[in-house]
Amino acid sequence: MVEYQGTRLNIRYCEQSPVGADPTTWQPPSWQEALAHIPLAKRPRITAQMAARREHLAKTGLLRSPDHWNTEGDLPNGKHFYAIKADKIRAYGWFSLRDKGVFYISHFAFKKGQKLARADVNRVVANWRQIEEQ
Amino acid sequence: MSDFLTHWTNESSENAKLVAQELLITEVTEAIWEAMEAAGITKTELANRMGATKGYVSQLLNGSRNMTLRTLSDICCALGKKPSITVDVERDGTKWQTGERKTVALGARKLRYERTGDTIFSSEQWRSAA
Repeated sequence: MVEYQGTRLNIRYCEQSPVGADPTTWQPPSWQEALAHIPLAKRPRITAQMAARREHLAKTGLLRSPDHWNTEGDLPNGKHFYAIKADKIRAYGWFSLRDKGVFYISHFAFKKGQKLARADVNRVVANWRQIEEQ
Repeated sequence: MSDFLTHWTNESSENAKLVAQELLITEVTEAIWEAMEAAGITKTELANRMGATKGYVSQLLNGSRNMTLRTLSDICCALGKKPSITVDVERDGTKWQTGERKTVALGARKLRYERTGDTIFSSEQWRSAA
């Protein structure tokens, strides 16, 4: 299972590695797609930012800075989903009620404009239903 | 269990260095935001207290402008907080060990006063808010 374990939270990815792939090296396709929008020279810095912010979230259970974290759209249960921010890359996810202490990352996306894309909302909600309503 | 970001971090010393830098920036800015939230202070208010512009404070807090120790001290003074910095000491050159650590306190500057007759004056000029 592709998961990062912290002291307060485990960060679990909805995109899981295919059978036979090493889950510790496998990269979610949405991450690769989002990163492809970033100029080559900036990719290491932005990857490091995402690694640092997900580590802090896993260690403390929250991110406070609006430059690191944002409350995004609504989920079907009335709760919100959130985004970990690193430059223009977002990791959309939610705090699971089914799996206590787990923050699920639905997918990564490159954010082009100010507005949250409908496709991203739909993808988060579909993943949320698959995991939380099982 | 770890993920691809951990793998990327461990792939090279250059990557590990970048993640260490970003982690420090994240931890410092998160601590500042925590203090701001606890005191009910906005970025604008913090900028006013520092005698700086909101844009300058924004750049410090989003990591696009490097924060010096002096600036960190100024931010903490403006928030009425005392920063505390710890550096874990590496002993054998290869592995991190639990044990000694050093705490460096960065306090606010002491005020100096002059006395003339029955009146006490501050002898330092304070920057006024913009």
